[in-house]
Amino acid sequence: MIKIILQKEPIDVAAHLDAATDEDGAIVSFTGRARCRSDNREVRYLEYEAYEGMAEKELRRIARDAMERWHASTITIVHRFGRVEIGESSIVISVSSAHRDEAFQSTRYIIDTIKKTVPIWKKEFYSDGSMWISERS
Amino acid sequence: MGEVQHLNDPFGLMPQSRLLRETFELQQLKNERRTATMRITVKAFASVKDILGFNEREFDLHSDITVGDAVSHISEKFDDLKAFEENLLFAVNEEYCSGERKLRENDVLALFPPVSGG
Repeated sequence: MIKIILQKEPIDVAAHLDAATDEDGAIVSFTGRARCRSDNREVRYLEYEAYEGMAEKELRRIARDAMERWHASTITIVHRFGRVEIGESSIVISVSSAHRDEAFQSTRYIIDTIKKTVPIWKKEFYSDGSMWISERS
Repeated sequence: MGEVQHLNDPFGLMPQSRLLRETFELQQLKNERRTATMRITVKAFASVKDILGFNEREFDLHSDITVGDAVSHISEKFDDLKAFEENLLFAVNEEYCSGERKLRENDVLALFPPVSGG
């Protein structure tokens, strides 16, 4: 089962971490957080802009790929857009599968691919300005 | 009835004039097609949106041009986009594509920088 959510509201992380079937022996999750420092500059908050329709399609495509390659059983991807405060979660990925290896590999593949292909952009706000981030990490 | 026919075709050349008119209309249609325009929607995101100053706008462009042609056309009006072109990504109707992709009427062309979500 695949669940894709793009939302403006803060993510209730715990609510997304236990999706699994009785066949699954493992759940692996990744949470991305807004941190207060970037390249030695103090970040006050972030803003994410999403091309919503296309982002949802790309996220679904990535989840389907992961599911096919590693036989993951459930995949949940939740991504924020709009303003995200320091310490809040910008993304939550949760994957369940029969064995842990598949869940670990799927999760790694999903977050790495999202950073390359999903049309969502991050803007950092500092005390003295702001900057769009482009493939710097 | 006879009078109407007379007014429309004073020299009794109705079949011929119709032929002429049809030929003329066909030629006009061909000319129109040669210079025909189509309407597409351009969406811009993140830094590209800042450069263009809009997040969505309709453009009338020549029919059957490619994404690359459309971007060149838009760059003529927005100088800063030119400097950015190497890093520009395109999508048509929510699917990534290359600059060679042909555009069609009502397509939605999205222009954006490398992504940075996650």
